[in-house]
Formats: sequence, structure tokens, C-alpha cells
Amino acid sequence: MSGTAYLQPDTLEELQALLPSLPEKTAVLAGGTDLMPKLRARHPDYSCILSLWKIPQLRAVEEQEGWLKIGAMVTHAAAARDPRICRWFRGLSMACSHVGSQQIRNKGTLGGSLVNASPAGDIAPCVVLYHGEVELLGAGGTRRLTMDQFLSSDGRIDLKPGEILTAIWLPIDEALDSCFVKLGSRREVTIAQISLCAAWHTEDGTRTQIRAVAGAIDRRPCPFPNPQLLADQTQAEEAAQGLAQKIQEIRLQRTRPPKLKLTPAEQLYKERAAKGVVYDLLDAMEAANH
Amino acid sequence: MKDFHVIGKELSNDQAYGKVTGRLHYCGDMQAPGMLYIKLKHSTITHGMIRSIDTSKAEALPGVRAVYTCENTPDKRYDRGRVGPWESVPNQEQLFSRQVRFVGERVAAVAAESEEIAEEACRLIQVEYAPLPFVISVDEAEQDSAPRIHPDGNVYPTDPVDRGDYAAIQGALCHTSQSHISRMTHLAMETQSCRAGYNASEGTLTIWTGCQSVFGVRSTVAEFLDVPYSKVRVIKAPMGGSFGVRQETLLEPLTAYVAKDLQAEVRLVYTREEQIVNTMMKHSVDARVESKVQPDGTILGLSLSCRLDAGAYLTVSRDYASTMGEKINKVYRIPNLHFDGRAVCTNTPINGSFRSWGSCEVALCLENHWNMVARELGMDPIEFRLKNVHEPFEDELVHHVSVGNAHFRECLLRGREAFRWEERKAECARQNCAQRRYRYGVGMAVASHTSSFYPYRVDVASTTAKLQEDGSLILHVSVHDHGCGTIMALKKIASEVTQIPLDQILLQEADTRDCLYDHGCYASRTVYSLGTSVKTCCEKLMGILKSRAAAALSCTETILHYEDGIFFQETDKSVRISLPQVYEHSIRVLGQDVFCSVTTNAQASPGVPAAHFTYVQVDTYTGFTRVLDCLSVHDVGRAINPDLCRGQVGSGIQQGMGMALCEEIKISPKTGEALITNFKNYEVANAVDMPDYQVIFLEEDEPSGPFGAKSIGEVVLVPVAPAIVAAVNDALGTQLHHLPLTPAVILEALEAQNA
Amino acid sequence: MKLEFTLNGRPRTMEADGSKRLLDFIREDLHLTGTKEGCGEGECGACTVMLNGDAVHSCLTMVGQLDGGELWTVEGLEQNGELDAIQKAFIKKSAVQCGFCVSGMVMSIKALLLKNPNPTPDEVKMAIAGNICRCTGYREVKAAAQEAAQAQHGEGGEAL
Repeated sequence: MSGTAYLQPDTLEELQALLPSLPEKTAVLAGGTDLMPKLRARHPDYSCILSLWKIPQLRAVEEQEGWLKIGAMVTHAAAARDPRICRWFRGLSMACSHVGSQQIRNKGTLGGSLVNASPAGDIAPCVVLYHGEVELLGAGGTRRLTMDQFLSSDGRIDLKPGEILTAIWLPIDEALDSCFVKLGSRREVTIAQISLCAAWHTEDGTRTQIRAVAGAIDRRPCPFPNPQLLADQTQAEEAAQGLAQKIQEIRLQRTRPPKLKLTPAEQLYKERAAKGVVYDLLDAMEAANH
Repeated sequence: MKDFHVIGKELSNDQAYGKVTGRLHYCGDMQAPGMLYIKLKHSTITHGMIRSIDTSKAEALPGVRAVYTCENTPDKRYDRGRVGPWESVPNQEQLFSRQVRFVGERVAAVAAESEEIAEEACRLIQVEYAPLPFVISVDEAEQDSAPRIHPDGNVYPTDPVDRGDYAAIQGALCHTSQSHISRMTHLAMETQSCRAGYNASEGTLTIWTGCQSVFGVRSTVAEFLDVPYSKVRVIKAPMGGSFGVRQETLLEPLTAYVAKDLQAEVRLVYTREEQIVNTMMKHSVDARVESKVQPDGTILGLSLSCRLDAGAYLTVSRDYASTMGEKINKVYRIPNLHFDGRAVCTNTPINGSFRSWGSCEVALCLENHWNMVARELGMDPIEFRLKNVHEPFEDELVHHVSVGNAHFRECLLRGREAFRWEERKAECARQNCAQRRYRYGVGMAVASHTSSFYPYRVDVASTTAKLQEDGSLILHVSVHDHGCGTIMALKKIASEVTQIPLDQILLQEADTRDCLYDHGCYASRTVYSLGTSVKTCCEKLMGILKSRAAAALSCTETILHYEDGIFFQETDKSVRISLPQVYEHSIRVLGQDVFCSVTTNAQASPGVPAAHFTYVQVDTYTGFTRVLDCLSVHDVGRAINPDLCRGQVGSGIQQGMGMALCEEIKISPKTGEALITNFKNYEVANAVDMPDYQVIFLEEDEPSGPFGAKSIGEVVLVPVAPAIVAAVNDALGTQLHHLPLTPAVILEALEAQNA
Repeated sequence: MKLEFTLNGRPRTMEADGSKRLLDFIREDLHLTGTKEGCGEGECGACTVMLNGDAVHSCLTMVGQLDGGELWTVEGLEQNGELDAIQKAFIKKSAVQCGFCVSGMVMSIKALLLKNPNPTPDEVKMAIAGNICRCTGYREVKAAAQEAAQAQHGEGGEAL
């Protein structure tokens, strides 16, 4: 990377001042856990690295007018132990505490995960679940987008050149409970094959207003079909079938199977395994209520 | 148990201090003034001829010293599997071949002032190819019409093994099974690395490499460069794990060639991708097993046919297949045997040496088979084995060589009890009755391995011992420590014999300049063969010392005793002489130095019985198998370093779990390229996934081994995967023998079961 | 860029390329080769160092991220000729085989024990789940971590 400029502003103001004059080939460095392997594997010649590493505002978690504002540079480890995230957005804290390894959680950031926009990312489904929004800072000021606006259906993100994701806003709902589960190929340090997160209210011991989101089954997080079936364990089979069907639909729309899925057993795996994740989700929801 | 000074004591790895402080230098850590760095460029096509290579842009890059391709390097052939000059080997490889035979094959190398520059220069090299027809699948490669990868065709059969008369067996039940084992990567934590330096004033070449055979490397390099063996020095550098991947000569010919050509110090370190694609993988194996067994479970005959995918170059694959045949009778008493095997070349990355060289493949095929047979006969798998395993000192049939003091029966019985086999079996049956999400199963397998090369080749091992002025000791023996503590094991053996404290013994790793010839450290022979050599040499040295002590004390040897570095008369302990005094007397009075050399030649290869027992949970919703508990019982003869032996058992379990459940390098059916070239998609058990495990060592001294020791390093892997496969099949009531049993495979099987 | 940081407890100021991988900087510019590269993509843990008190992958870190920070590598643990409790425990518990994963393992455990001097076995497993070892079954490594924790208690919670 010699010959590459390295910019590392100390404050948000310094960052904003840099934005209008950024070279065209600028890579934004957050935690680096996704960017660094990409830089190494593909060798694109970036002429400039813009590091957000030292900006304290981007590491802050603050409550503002009924929203929790999570700085883009908050790491997974910090999010997992933040008392407000644990209290109001338990699903997100569960997701954060099982992202990658301890080393990845110590460095990888929530903002970085959203901008990286991997279909298997664990953070985006949670932000979608909570009806969260993202704050983007550009040369001309900030704008706030819903996740629907931010994530296009083909998995791309609406982030213009010279624009930086600075914060995630999540609406606080004291009565909302939530949880997150994922199916990977190991128990820890594993990439989700299917992730599920759900949020609900509890009225008279019954789960109501249930909503749920599935990750890693399509290019962007998908709404869970028939979330009302997650009210209790009795309709688990039906809920699982709904998810399996959804995964099947997505598979059939694909023009070719993913590179590593060579056999029919591998191509059908996610829809077959959906049942296990749905049962895990129901167990986690049950545990959350206790 | 005898009371030893240091044998069997829990002492760390000899290099542990250097490793925990980061001070120990692996090849990739070594620096030298003016050092140049090599990077490689790889083929992007499956099969074809290089029409042209344009290196001009690369050569023009500042900091680049030279670019090497098939245009400017010798087209001389060499073989990565060669150990001595007398061996007949396929000799198919070149530094750079004009005909490229797989995606990823090296086509050019750049030597530059930094790795970064060399890498950049590689990107600037432009290669034009004329594609040739190619063949990816082994089935197709075997057809007469298949494109030929080498002039002599694609199929390389082994000599068949026939003992007794398998076809003539009457009155037995015939069973057949098919097994498939997939390609794996060794996943040694250090990637391959090599340093070479040319000293122009002396005309000598020095190579540092984390290899398993310094003499094999020297032979290959010296002949390739056409220089006298005496002018090439190969030094075994610390290696970050082997599991077979350091056994073959891979980086050294190129690194040495560049060093000599540029008269410089050079270094080549593989990336992880190169480590996976450009070393060798574990063979994928298709095997058919047929057996004839009496209704009471007595095995009358066995027939094994196996086919190995060699990849684009034959290298060691035919030998590997032959070795499977050599190893089919190490565990069970079987009067009639047939084996045939073949290695088949395909336009895919090369397969080759892997931990246990055939033992784990044979165990997978046979143990899967015996578990199936036992089930069909309605017999408990342990009972079935108790009926058929070798007794101690029984001859195996392939070579009519004794299995040594090998206690298969004891391993089974101890394991059955310690693992609570019967109880657990009943528990699984009870748990599975409920037909819930999780099913449970137990499985076991038994295996063995070698302790030396005998009788495949003459197993020589040589040691030189030199007493120093202060009574400390220097030993030269061609040991290649894989990281598992063999240096310490040999030092302990020397210390036990000489009673010289460990910290006064210097025993360094193999160096062709200082050591006598040795084939190399593989076949799990280090402790058994080299240990015997060290022990014999130290005993001889003690004999010399005793005679010199007697001369110094003017008495007969017979009345001298020796303890803690002092020779003394039993009757008058004041008549005594220390080792430094003996040395001084030898030099100053007798005019003789105190040293000796011995070459020992192992006349046995005692078996190392191992039984593995495992208890698994299979999630029928997600297809995940979790090993909940397992036990390995090993008859090691004597554990010289018990702690490190236990550590190796853990490693064998981890690798065996991978083989059975998740590890596989997938190959593209369209291009033959490796689809998995990184850690990310090759998941191995981490600290959370790794189950608890118990280890039992049976320590019944092997009379031919040093202080009773046999081997441990490879056999730890051998029974693990088949035991897990058995447990999964037990849990699900299936007969799955196509590995790995990934969640996708399990759900597919359950789907078929429900249909 | 001008880089100010502390290396193994000592302040350093030097000129450096901010976009270089921290791993390469440590090995090539600081000449500390105890930190190893096993995969280059943050999956094996061999390159783990401690940055501002956290275990991180030096292969996924840019040198610029070190500015103003505090870096500990395996070479910094031995103080006044005495090994750190973790290093001693690794030797005592035979957790060292080929050694290539060891410096990363040691640094992961160092970061754990600084935050959590009394970890449960599960917490130890989680802390080293990103450090792959192929030579052991992790049992000796886990035992070494517990041993080091106990030893540190004996010394009254020694600070780094």
C-alpha cells in the first residue's frame, strides 16, 4: 500500500472538512476487519485511505428524544456490553456478542458491518427489525435514511461517494423485547447461514405485535413470513415451513447456485435446516420471557 | 514401573522458551543482509501450453532483481518425494513447466528487494496460453479417451497384494461397502517457508527449511543444480506443524536455484492460498471393501480396492496407494487378503503426503466396513473386534512381520470400561426412543500404525556423541522436530543413559553438515528408531568413559560404578573421578578424544494399537453433529513425554473430527480449481467446538524400543474419524460412508430415510 | 505519517506508512517477529496483538490505527528477565508444540486476564475461539490460561 495517502481526522468537524476534496479512489477504514482482506485479495489501487478510527463522536452511544444513537464506530464488543443496547435492543446485543472471534468483535464496528453489506452480516437484520435508520454525512451535510431506503433489493447500499455512515438510530420502545439466533457451520466464530431476529411485546403473558427478520437467506434481510406464528411453540412447524418456503422461493429465483454449493444436498440445505433455526428462535424467545 | 530419572517426567518442549517469547525464528522470520524475496505467479488455466510470457514490465519495476519462467530456467526434471539418490521416482516436476496442468500451478517467480515489489512484479507478468483439453473427474481420467496429462497416461496401478486365497473362501457371509474420503488441507499453522544463501567465495549453498528430511532435500537440490552434495548444506529450521505437508521437497529447489543464480540470500514464504493449492492436499479416495466373515464374526478374508486422485502430478501418490496395501493387516488376524490400488492423475491441484500415510484411509474403509458387518451380524462392534484383533507378537500377513508387544485386546477392554460403553449404548437407545430433535449415538474404531520404516526399507539411524571438556555433551542426530517435542524426547533418552543433566546436553535439529545420513523423520519413527540410535550411542560412550575412568584410576572396569557424572569404586567411594576429569585424562594423558558414532538399523516396526470411542449428538433439524465426549486409548509402549503425547492425541481428535464431519477442499467440476483457498471457508474445530476428551496410555514396554517406547504422532489421528462415522450411523440408523458427514449430507440422508 | 505510540510500555515516535498492515510494520519495521502470519484475513489468530488493551488481529489493522495508542506484542511480556505468568503456564502445562499459534494465543489470554482476572472455563474458550491450534486439542492451552489466572492471583493481580 505504499504511495497511498492515509487520512485520519481527529474530530467529526475535521472529517467533514475533508469530505469535499476526497480523491475518487478513497477507501473508508472503520474497524478494518472486512476492508483489509478485501484490499489484500483484490489489490485495487486506492489512492487514499480515510480512517474513522480516532473520531470520538463516532464511538458514542447516546439517548436522544426517544432514539438510541449508536456511533458507527462502536465495536461489536462495545455494543454487546453497552447497558442501553442490552436493555432496549437485546437482539442486537446477542448478535454482537457472537460476531466472529473476540479479536473481530474488538475491532469490527456496527457501521462497518452495515456498509460492508454482506448478505450474511448479523447487524443489518437487527437494524431492520427495530425499524432503525442510518445517518449519513456528506460534504453537503447529513441525511437520515430508513433501512428500506438505505438497502436496495439487490443488496446494494445507498451511500454516495464521499459520504460516510456516521450513526445508527434505533427507536426506543420500553415494552419491546427481542432476541437473535443464527445457524452457522460452527458454534462460534462462524458466518451465518441463516440468522433470525424477532421483537415483540408481551401482554398478559402472551407475545403480541411480533415482528421478525431473517438474514443470510437473500442479498438483504427479509421479513420473516407470518411472524404471528411465533407467538408460542405450538405453531413452530408451520412457522418453519413458511421460512423454508421463503428460502426455496429465493433459491428458485437465482440463476445459478452459490459457488461452494456443488451438490443438490448443499443447494437445498438452508431450506431443510430452516426448521432448526426457527425452533432455536422460539427457544430464545421463551428464554427471554423468563 | 521402573524408576527413571527423566523418562516419563512431564517436561516441556525443548524450544518452548523460544516459542512463548517469540524469540525462535522460523524461516519466515529470518533476515540476512541484502536478502531478496521471492513471489510466485500462478496459472489461470486448467491445462495448456504457455505460448508466451512477457516479463518486460516486471523486470523494469525498480527493486526487481530477476524474473524466472520456463523460458530461462532448466527444463530438468526432479521429484518432490525423493529421499535418496538410489530411489526410482516419477520425476515429472520442473521448476516451471511449459505445459501447465492445473489452475494455480506456478508459472513464474520474481526475486525482488521486498515482498511487496515482488508481488507487484508478478501482477505485471503477462502469460498467453494455448489451452489443451483437460480432465477433472477421476472417473473420466480413467477412460482411454481421456486427455493425457503426462505421456505415460493418467492411471498408475500399484502391485496387488494377495495372501492366502481370498476367492476360494467357502461358507462365509460376504459383505461389501464403499467409502469415500475427501480432499483436505493439513492446515499447519505456519505456511511453507524456505531460506537459501549462496556463498560465492566458498561455492557453497546453505538452505534453511522446516522439512522432514534434510538429506532428501539435499539430494534433490544438489542433483538439480548439479553441484557436489558436500557443497550443499541443509539445516532443519523450526516448523509450524507438519501433518505431512513438510515431508516433500517443495520450495527448496526453486529457492536454492534463485540463491545460486543471484549469488544472494533469498527467502520464499507461501501465502495461505499457496499453502492450500501449491503444496499438496490429502488424497480423495474411493474404496470398495469386500469381506468374508463367519456367522460367529470370525473374519476369513478381506479384499480392498482403492483409487486415489493424484492431482496433476503423480509425485508420491502411487507409493501412497501401495502403502495402503502394506497396512491392511496391522490390526486384525485375517488369513486371506487381497489388495489392489491405483493413483489417477487429473488436472487438479496435487495430492500427496498426509499424516499417517494410508493408515487413516485404511482405517476409515475397514472400520466403517467392520461396523457395518457387526451391525448386520447383530454383534456389538467391540465383541466383533475382540474376536479378530492380533495378539501380541503375532505376525501380520502382508510381510510376515511381528506386530510386537501390541495390546489391541487390552485397548478395547480398557476403553470399553472407561467409556462406559454398554451404559452409554443403552442411554442412547433410551434417548432416541423419544424421537425428538436430537439423536444420540456411540461409535468406536481400532487402528494401528508403524514405529519405523521396517520392513519397507532399511531403517538406519545414526548418532554421534562428543563429550566436552566440562563434562557436557553434544549429540548429532538427524532429528526433525515437528513441534511435538522429539528433541526433548531424544535428550531425555541421552540423559537417562548418561545421567548428564538435560541442560548440559546439546542436541540440535538435523543439519547435513554435522549429522550422518538419515532418510528423515516420518513414518512415526523418530522416538523408536532415532531414540534407539541415541540410546545405543550413549551406551557406547559410557563404555568408553568407563574404560578411560578405569585407566585413570588404575583399576579394572568391573569394580567401577557410575552415578550422576561420577565413576567410583563401590568398595572405596573415595576412589572416584568425574566426567571432566575423565575427559582431561583422555586428552592429556591418553591422547584420545571422547566421542563415538553408531548406526543402528531397526529390525522391527512394532504396532501401536489405538482404540477411539465417541459419543455424539446429531441435530436432525439442522444436520449438525456434536461430539459430546470421546476417549482415546493408546498402547504407546512407554510415553517419554506424556504431556506432549496427550497434546498430540488432542490434535488427532481435532483433525479426525474434521475428516469425519466438516473438512473438505472442494474442487470445481468445471475448472478443477480449488474452491476453498482460505481459512474462512475451511472451518476446523476451535476451542469452543472441541469436545472434552479422555486419554489412556497403556504402557507395556516394547522390548525393541528405547526404554520401551514405540510411536504416537500419527496413530492419534487414525481411529478418530471412523469412530465418529460409526457414532453418527448409530444415532441415525444409516450407513453413511461418504465423508465428510456435513450437515447437508446428514439432512439429505434423513430426507431419504423419511421418503 | 508521524506515528506516536507506546510499544511494550515504551513511548516511540517514528515516521511510518499509515496504510501498511500493522503486522508487517511489527515484523519488518519494529523487527519483532514473534507475531506471526497464519492466514492474513483474521481467521487464525496467529497475528493477535494487544492494542489499547484489546486483543486484535494485526493483519486486519492499519498502522495509522496505532497512532496515539498502546501496543503490546509477545516480546513485551517478559519483564526484567522474568516470563509473564501466561508464558510460564504455557511451558508448565505443555501448551507449546509447534509454537506458531502460541504468541497469538498468549496475547488473547493476556487481554482476557487484564479485563477478567478470574475467567470461567467458558470465558477462556470464547477468548481463544479465534486462535486456531492444530497441534493440540486446546486442552493444554485452556489449562495454561487457568493456571496463569491463578498464579496472578497469587501475586496480587500484577499489572501489565
